[in-house]
Amino acid sequence: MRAIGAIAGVLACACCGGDAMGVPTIHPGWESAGPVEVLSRTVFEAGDAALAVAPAGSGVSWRAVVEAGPYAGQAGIRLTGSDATAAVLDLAVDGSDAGGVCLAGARGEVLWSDSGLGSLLYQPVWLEAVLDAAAGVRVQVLDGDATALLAQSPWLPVGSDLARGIDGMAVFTRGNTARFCLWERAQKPLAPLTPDNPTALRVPRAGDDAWAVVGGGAWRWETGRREVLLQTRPTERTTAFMTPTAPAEGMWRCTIRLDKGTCGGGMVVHGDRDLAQGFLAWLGGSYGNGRLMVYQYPLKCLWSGPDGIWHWDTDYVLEAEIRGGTLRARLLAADGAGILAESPSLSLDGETPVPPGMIGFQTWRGTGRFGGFGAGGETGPAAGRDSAQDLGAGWRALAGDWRWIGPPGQTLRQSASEGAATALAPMVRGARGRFRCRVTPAGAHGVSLLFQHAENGQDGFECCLAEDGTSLRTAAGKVLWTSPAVRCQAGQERVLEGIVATDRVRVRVLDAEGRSLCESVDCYVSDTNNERVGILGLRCRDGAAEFRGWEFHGEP
Amino acid sequence: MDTGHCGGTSLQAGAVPAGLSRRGFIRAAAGSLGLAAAADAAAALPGILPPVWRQTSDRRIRIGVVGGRFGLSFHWHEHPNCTVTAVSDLIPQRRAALQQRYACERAYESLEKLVLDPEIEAVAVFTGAPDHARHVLLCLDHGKHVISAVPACLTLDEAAALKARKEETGLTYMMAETSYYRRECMTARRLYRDGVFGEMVYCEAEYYHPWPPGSGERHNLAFHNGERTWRYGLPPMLYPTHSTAFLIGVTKERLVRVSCVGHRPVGDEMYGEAANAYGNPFDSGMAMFLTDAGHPFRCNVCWNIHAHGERAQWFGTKAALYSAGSGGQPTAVLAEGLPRQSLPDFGAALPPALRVDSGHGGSHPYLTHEFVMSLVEGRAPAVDLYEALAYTVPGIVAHQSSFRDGEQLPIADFDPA
Repeated sequence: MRAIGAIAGVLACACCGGDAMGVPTIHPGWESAGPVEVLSRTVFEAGDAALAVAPAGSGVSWRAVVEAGPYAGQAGIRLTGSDATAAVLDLAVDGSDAGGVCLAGARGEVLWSDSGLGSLLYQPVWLEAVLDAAAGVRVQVLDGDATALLAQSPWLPVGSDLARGIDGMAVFTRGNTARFCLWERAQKPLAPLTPDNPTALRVPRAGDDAWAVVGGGAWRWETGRREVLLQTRPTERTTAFMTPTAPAEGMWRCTIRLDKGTCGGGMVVHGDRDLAQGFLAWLGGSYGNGRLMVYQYPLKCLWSGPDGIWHWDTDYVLEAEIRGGTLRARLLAADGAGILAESPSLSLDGETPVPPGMIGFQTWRGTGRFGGFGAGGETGPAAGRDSAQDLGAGWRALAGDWRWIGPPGQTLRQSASEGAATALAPMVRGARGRFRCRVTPAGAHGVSLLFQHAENGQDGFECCLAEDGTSLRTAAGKVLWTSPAVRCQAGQERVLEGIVATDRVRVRVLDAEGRSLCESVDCYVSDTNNERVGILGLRCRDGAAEFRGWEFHGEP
Repeated sequence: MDTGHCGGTSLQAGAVPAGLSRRGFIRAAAGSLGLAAAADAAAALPGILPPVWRQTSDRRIRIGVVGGRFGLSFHWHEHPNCTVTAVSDLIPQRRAALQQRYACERAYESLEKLVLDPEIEAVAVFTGAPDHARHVLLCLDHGKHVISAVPACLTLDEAAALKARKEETGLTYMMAETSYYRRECMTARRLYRDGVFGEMVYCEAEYYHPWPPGSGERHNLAFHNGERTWRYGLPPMLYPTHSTAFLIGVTKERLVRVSCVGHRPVGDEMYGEAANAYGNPFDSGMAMFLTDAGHPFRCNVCWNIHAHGERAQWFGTKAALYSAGSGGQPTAVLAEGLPRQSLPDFGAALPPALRVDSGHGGSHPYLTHEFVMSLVEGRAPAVDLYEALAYTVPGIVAHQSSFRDGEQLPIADFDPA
């Protein structure tokens, strides 16, 4: 911490607030620390607390990194005129429940805002205002690395006098604490104006009545193609409705992925804005290890399946079908190839007839993503439904030529001679414990056991026996450990093991009689592995191999 | 400079009531006045990183890494201010794994040889817990800064020796306590500093890591090539820091008294007063502490219950924060006006290469960064020796209490006079 004399770039203070028990401060309620000079407003002040800074550089862009504190007030940058702390323009992020970013004029009038940005508790962001005497001002928010655009305004006419009159900058809070750093001016803005900016992708947009949101949250399209809808703000319960009324009967389908920590999510059929009618195909039950359920609004459970069906950060296809006075819900794997859970046909005869309503997508206490439907209002088929081959006995082939040798379920042979061939056993699953298989290479250049493997392929590990040795790899291909001691050789049966112990994983290769040939060190990985359920899979590269004896033995 | 422990307040001599340390008086007074933020500032709370990372120095710390098991899980070679100069492990396979991990050719057969290397400025000691104090003292004696795995030590004599040697040498010591940089703990620290909790009345923390008889985890942790490792029969309360850090790492309070009840498992050959090197009959310990600010703190460490993880829940007069638990309960922040939400991501404060997930709640890159930057910037690290002993020593006394049916015992103070 440094005393006032050591602070470069701090000009003046317009604030009140008590000193912090004799701590060196630059102005009451403000502290500074380095070596990256960080100004902290550490004392909560209901009103304005502003500190003038002297940004390095020159140019049309005025910006700083702002990290808002936990209170329901603002923190931001202030562009000033002759009075070093009096506002001409205030650009601030909002710590309130709704969150967002706001540009206000000298009298506090709101010139532009984007509440869809959401809460930014302790998240450093770049706030930038770009001035042009002719066009006015445009503002934008980027992440702390200035690599991701988070919100952006169009050019806002503010008058050439105002733009020309700005010659200073302050940082300020109003009903919040905050930290600030890297205040500067520059000739080049951090990001150009773009039509598909995040603000433009929010759902719903002003003037757009194709969508309606009930319950808050932060809904937006993932990209300008408007194919995948994201709900990015943890919220009690929020629903994004496609406002056109759906047909009375039909099948509706979406892809769904609930992010880690989310308590539930699903698809509403024939809903209304009061959440007083309609049905809900729902992923509920145990958080992150839950069940398929069917509800009717006002919320009443019509059916509930067993837990252990859906997991966080995993893609699924969710279906709801209403025909002939019955309702059925179904959950499928992401590729649409396997039904994970299915409700019985639920008779709606005894119920008060539900008039046709809207299709909607809902999260409960968390965030998620939904896709597989058209932006115009029709839900459509999930992508890639038939991309995997069902091998029977609970196995699916993603690539390669896999066939059973003898009765299904005992020995799998992969015969494709080129490329990586992968088969998955979604029913062989677990978290902590030992995954194992036996393999006899028959020309393959490499054979692998996939363990604690995510069904979407985005997580998990691989015990890889190749011609140059044995390795432990992540699903992303990162090598955690290698050894040249044991290599892939045609005709030699080996046992491959992947062992998951809390946040450590290791692999082992044994001979056909169970003698250990090599074993990796424990490799520390994310402790999300402690509870993450994954499946077993097999892979071979550039040739044939036979696999058998696969199993998972769980640990407490 | 020792930023963790300069009071910097204007309190008059004689103003501290009997029974409270000066630190405790400041905290109690600040809490009662709703001035938690002021009290934290008064204690010059370290451990809060700048909002975003910027390279401020070209200096590269030349580090030696010892211990080819846990020591594999850090990011020294990826930090722009650090170079791995050499590695060491007594076991050749682990030594090779360290060389592979850190892309380091130079390897020594032992720590004793590594510390003789004049190029090495600092040593990362990730050896077995009973060796930590001895190995740290060896490094300090050879003029090396040290980061050590937890706990800092297993006895009060070792604690005293560490303090004496650190103060004699003026070298930097940091304990690699992972809970300190778990996201929940980092969030709690920020919320506390910003006064959201009000007075932090009570905290509960727990470390559950089951390795029951016959399990692969016991085989993996308690044995190596059929021989017992240091974990065989380890008293849970001698490994308390994953729990104690959750409170002390947030409020910087000190634990001054403890009553601990241990669980004596029946039929588990690993535990018993003649069954292991520690003379330890307990596989679990449940301790109730009192802080120097008069706050109660419950702390569990269990090696054989059906639960898993390192977590805490913090209760203030104005807010509460709950870590996610192995029972499926989600993380929650409960405070008036503060919406329930996921926890902030503090990753922008790290060099880009270190923004990766890791074991122990993603804490390893932060530990790497903090130790390196404390040396580059010439300041005390967030978990310096005094903090480390404040996390460690209460467990040593708790273990003593468990032998005396939970008798409440005073806890020695190892802070600077």
